[in-house]
Amino acid sequence: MLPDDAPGRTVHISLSELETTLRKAASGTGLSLGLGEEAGLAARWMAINGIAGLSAFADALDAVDNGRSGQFDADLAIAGTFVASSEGLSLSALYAGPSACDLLEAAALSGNGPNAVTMTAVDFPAVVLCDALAVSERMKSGIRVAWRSRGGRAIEAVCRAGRLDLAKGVFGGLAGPGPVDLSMALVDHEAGAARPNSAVLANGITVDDHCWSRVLAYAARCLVEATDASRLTGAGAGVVDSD
Amino acid sequence: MIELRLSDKQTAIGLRPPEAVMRLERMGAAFQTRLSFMRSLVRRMGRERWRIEATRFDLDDDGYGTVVYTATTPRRRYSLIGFSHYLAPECRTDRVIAEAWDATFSLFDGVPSDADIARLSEQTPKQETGRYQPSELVMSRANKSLRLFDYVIENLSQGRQPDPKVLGKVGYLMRTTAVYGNGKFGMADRTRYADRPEVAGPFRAELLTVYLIRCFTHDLIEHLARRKNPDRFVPLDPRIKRYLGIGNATGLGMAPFLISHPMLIHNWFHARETALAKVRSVETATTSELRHFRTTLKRAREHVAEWQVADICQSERIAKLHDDLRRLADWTSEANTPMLGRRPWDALFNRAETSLSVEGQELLVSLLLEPYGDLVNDLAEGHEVNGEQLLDPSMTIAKLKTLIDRSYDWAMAIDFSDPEETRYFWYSSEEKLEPRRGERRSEAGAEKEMPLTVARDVQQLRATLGKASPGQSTAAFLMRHPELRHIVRRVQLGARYPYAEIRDNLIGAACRPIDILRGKLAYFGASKFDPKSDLWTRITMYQGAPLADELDPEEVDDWCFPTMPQVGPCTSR
Repeated sequence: MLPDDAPGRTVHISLSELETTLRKAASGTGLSLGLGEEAGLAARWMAINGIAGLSAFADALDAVDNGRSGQFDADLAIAGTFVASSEGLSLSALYAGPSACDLLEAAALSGNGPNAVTMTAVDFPAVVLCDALAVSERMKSGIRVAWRSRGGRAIEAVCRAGRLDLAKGVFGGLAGPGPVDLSMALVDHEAGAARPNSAVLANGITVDDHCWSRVLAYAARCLVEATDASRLTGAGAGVVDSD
Repeated sequence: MIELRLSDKQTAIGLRPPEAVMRLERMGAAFQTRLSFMRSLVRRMGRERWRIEATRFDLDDDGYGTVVYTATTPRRRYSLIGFSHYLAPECRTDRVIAEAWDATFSLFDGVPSDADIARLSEQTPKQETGRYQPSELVMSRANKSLRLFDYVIENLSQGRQPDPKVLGKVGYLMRTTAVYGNGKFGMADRTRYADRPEVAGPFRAELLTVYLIRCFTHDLIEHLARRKNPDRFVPLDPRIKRYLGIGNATGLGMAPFLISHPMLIHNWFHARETALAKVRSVETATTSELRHFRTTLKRAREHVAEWQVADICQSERIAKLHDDLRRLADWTSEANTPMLGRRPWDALFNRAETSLSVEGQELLVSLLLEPYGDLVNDLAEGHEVNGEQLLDPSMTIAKLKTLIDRSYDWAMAIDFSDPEETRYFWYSSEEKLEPRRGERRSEAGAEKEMPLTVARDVQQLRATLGKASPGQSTAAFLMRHPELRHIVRRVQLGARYPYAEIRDNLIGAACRPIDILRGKLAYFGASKFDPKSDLWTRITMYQGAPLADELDPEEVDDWCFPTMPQVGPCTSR
């Protein structure tokens, strides 16, 4: 159970459902397939680390869908500075998170490029944090992610080998909304990082039904309307198979 | 993770290259091998002496009710919970859009309590619209073969065995119409059982479910015949029972799976090609190996002779295959001295490649592996993929372009200015998410097409890369082109895992989806492919496989290419 996500009716879902549905939901808002894949992966690592963040993902999808948040300025981002490409918009974590992690991973792998990045007015920092968790699983370095919540509370998390260690702040505050300014930086890897939460891997998670329904609604946008004609051209036998 | 070594140190003969193997034409001619998932599962069942029992069999005179079959392995138990229902004739369809079935099933992790069974009795019959728990690993459903079901009941109830010739036209009593696993509808993720060798392999839990459903179909038919006429009833002859597999109707859903699991597909095909290369590299064949090959070939000829389908194209291919097998028998007869020479299997394969049909060549692949279980069986393990598909953001654009030029030349060669090359789009219908394929220029929904557009996307990527600075990193490139992120990841992966891609255009007019299905289903271990259109096929699974009370280590591995049992139609008890 992810407590913050489950205030009302709940639904049990598998990690596979979480990942694939987030991927489709992202596509449903118009994000590219590749960014959808990253969103799904980030959500998986959110669950594995017990972060109550599904609402942050659902809100981040809303923000992209209704145009409150948007892309980043690529010219600035290449140097490690992520700001929204249009004035008046928040920076979408769904766009910025994967690219920020790319930059850091590239720096870790090749020694080229910035080993720290900043984000200005990012809409949902928990989504970026989960991107960092996902990418850290395969990196030899760790990633520190820090921001100050809208209430002014400092949050500092270190992601190593897919595992979250909270240096400042509390778990329950991770999913709070932005816009906030956020920083990310490579940190040394420490040997012996704890293994992922095997209970979640075995049993999936329980989330708020309403929040999950919001994600499902976006995913459903990827479905094509059924017509009599399409039913006839679908694979399979006739309407009745009496053989 | 295995990477391709075309001249593996273990084999003097190289692997067949992916540009030859990963083509639709060849995938559409594939056969099961001893590496197929059903074969490896049954081997394990026998080796570990699994015990399979019906621990609950509460069916009424019409065969409706609840059953539980429990498979006891050395470490754990798994239970098939089945619900047998009345199915109105007008609801009988094999399609995904069906809403009712003759029987529905869940594979339970362990032994279910009465409460578990009661809960699932409310959910399992609903299939995709039910919700499940992590204690459930797989969900499935099956419909009766009306061609056989009543016929077999009638015969058994009158003290007669059914005529094998009649059974041979179908090969199963029920056919599954879907088998779902890996976290769908709230069921357990594969990560729950990824460290359990008995079910860790790809689709192993699903195929255990199918095996247990086959057990159920045998017991159900005997139950109904016995209830119909207890005085005259005879049980199925074990030889007939063994010949009755379980059917399956498979449509478009399998194609997107193959595209979205490139590493897995690489592992499967790389393993098979490695096995083939190992056998072709055998320096000399022993008398025992030659005898094994000839015996299997003889059986395969009978099997192919009994393989009858209505599809004209497949019928012609079967006829040609029959001729191919006759030639193979001539080439490998005892009078044929080259079989006693150096690397006889390689010589045979080379001859086949220039003389036989593609189906003939692929059947030979299967036959060649049969005598060499000790050499290749271990390649059936370890196919699972437990890591994500990684993207290397530090790769330069120059390197990325090189990868495309080297590994995706097949994609670059397709002329997408020709409308026929983009004729189709694949999509999920809102109607039970049924995968469908539409005509791009006459049907709505192309903007929501599934990403089966690998070749077209690679061309788009290559064109865009041409405008980027060669020294730029992938990370920087993707900042400006997030729409290409998925295909960059794929190209990086495809260059490392060369059997990962089907090297054809899946949205073109020439694409026959059943070729994709057959490639996958053959790897599952299916046989008797019976195409019903270019979009779907029926198959038979576990036909000839040992029965639950025959799971003996010495007896479980020689059931490929099953043939009609020689049992008189009027054998009485």
